[in-house]
Amino acid sequence: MIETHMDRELESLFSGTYELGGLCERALVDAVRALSQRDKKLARDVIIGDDKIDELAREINITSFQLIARYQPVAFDLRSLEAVIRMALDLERIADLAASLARTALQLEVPLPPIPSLRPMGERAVEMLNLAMSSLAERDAEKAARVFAMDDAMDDYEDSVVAELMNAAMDTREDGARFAGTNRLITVARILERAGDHVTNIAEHICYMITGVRVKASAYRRPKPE
Amino acid sequence: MTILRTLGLSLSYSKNAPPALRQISLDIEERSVTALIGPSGCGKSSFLRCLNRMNDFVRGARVEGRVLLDGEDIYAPNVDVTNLRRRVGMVFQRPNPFPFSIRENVAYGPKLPGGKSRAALEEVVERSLRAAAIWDEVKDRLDEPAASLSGGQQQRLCIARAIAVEPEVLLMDEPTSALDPMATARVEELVRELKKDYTVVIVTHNMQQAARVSDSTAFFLTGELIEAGDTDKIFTTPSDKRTEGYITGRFG
Amino acid sequence: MSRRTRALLDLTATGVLWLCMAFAALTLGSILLFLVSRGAGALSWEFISEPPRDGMTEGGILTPIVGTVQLILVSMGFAFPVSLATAVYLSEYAGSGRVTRVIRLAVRSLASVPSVVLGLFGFAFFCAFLRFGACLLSAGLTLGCLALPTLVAASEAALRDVPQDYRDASYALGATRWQTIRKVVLPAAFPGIITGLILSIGRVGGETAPIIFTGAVFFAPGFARSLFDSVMALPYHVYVLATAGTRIEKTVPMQYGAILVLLALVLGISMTGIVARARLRRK
Repeated sequence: MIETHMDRELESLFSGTYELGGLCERALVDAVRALSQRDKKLARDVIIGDDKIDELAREINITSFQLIARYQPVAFDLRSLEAVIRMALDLERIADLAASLARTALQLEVPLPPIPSLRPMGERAVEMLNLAMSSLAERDAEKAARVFAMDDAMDDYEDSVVAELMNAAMDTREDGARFAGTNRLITVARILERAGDHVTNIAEHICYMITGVRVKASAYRRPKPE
Repeated sequence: MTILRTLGLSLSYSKNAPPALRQISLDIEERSVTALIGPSGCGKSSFLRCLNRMNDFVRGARVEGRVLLDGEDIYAPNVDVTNLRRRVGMVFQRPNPFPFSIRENVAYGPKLPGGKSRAALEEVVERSLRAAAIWDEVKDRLDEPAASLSGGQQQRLCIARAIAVEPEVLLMDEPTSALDPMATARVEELVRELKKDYTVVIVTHNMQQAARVSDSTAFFLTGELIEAGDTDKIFTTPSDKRTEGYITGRFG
Repeated sequence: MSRRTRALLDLTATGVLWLCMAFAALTLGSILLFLVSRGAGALSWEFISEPPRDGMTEGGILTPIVGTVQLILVSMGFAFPVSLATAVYLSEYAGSGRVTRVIRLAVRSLASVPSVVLGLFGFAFFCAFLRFGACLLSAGLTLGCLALPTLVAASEAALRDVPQDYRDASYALGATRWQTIRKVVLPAAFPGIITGLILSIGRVGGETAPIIFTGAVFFAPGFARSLFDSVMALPYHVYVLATAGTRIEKTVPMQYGAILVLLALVLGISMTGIVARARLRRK
């Protein structure tokens, strides 16, 4: 089998995707830290960094369409390009979500009650993204499929965070500002859960690229209660 | 509905050489376009020529297995081969009109059994030229020599000539490889039209052409049928690694 | 090799080739000049339209002219169909087996038989064995045998030149082998076959040895009215005039005139053939 020009182009696009993934991971980590440590400077950095991420995602998109026009790719090449385009979109969304978290961090004026599940939830999201990126690098569909099960944990975390926030809200009812802050934190849980969903999408794209079968993450997860 | 089916078709050109085709079993659906692809020497043209027994003319060629047209084996002992070739027509790689006029070319096939009136022949000629999308270009010069047409026109004339005998199946052996891109596009468009009335089996070394024009694709490699199926599936998710390697241009 | 040497070599080669061509043309030219100078005097309307009289010293050469034409017709009438059938067999039906090789060898060997030997064969076979006697038929058939190899070779070449594409197309439309030959291959090969015919006519018209024993006579009172009559022929007439005439001085111009007429006749037939072929080609 000869190495074609397409092989090199695809490799370069994958590299761009890893880079994009790395930037998104960084953004998530920083956003969660900015939130829990009320680090406004860090939060602002995350928001500024979002522009760079958008730019990279757009470049990947344009290059992919150019390759389609030029090479009329089929089979693996075609599926790879489809995956690259879709992953860039999901990664860009994750970065937007991180920026959202950062903005929430900027708006918090008062110290938060301790929410133990928040940090692990953030770490979990980052772990999922990491796993997805390495499964792409190793072209390992089974590894990508493990991401699906991890999303179950995200749901659990979300429930925990909400419960803890409810408790904290009970305690701070008299302190109005704190109460409002607590409310805002529920959004944070939702945001992190959506980030997890996007990583799940990314894993689905990777599976399709490698196997040619469109898997649904729900097939790998525990059944949702009615 | 399957109109043409091969069962364990094997072909060898001589006792000493390796077989040109090994145990090919392929179904061809009625009124569809099936593309046969594969690298040079993979046997796709040999396979095509088995379908209308043109390989009979090659001395020493031996065929095993069965080829069923409408359920009947075309290699059975008492088969009328000339009638078979009327039911399964062929268009060749290089346009090969006879050195006669345009009209004579198209009327050649229908005239062979004899007994057709002048009017009937005229009607067949016009109908076939229309079906081959070349009527408007030649209707005023039917008596001019076919050689005066351009390459692309000659090939469409050959298609008209082939369909003048009203075949059930039309075999096309790399019909556009000698044509320029414009003429190629017209012939491809014609093939898409023809499949409404005829079953088309087309050999092509141009993958994109196979992808554009066919409903099913069969991939051949050194005399074997590696994979066959819906064109959409073959070109997005082929099952065999060799198929994928060939269609992405990584070998062959 | 330097540029100068190359240019010099090129010039030399061109020069040598030109000289060869000039030599050939000159030879032909001198022959024609020779003939015309000696024979033009004898040419007249009377010459071609009157039979010879008075021991070949008077009159014309009408009888030999007619005789030559008759010989051509008989020989071609025999040789053309036979050779065409052979050529069709060899080109379209024959395999590469032993029988084919034998046939080819036989045909080719026939070409190298000296014409006088062929004449003797003709005498022994047609005149004696088949009891035709010395006549137009025997002479014509002998000449036909002479022409066979050339005709077969030319026809076969013409048939082989027909692109296989045409046959493929014809078969693919449901034609039998014979239909293909009759409707496509033969018409396409026709110009080439006609060329072969023309060449053979030229050859046959000028042969003397095969007809001496088998039917040509020195003098015949009238034209050959049936196949079994004797016939006069131009080449033989020339031979006779040159060697056995009674009054050589008077017959000399006639003999050259006869040669010119023979050349003109053969040329005329060739021209007709070529024009006919050109017309066919354009169609």
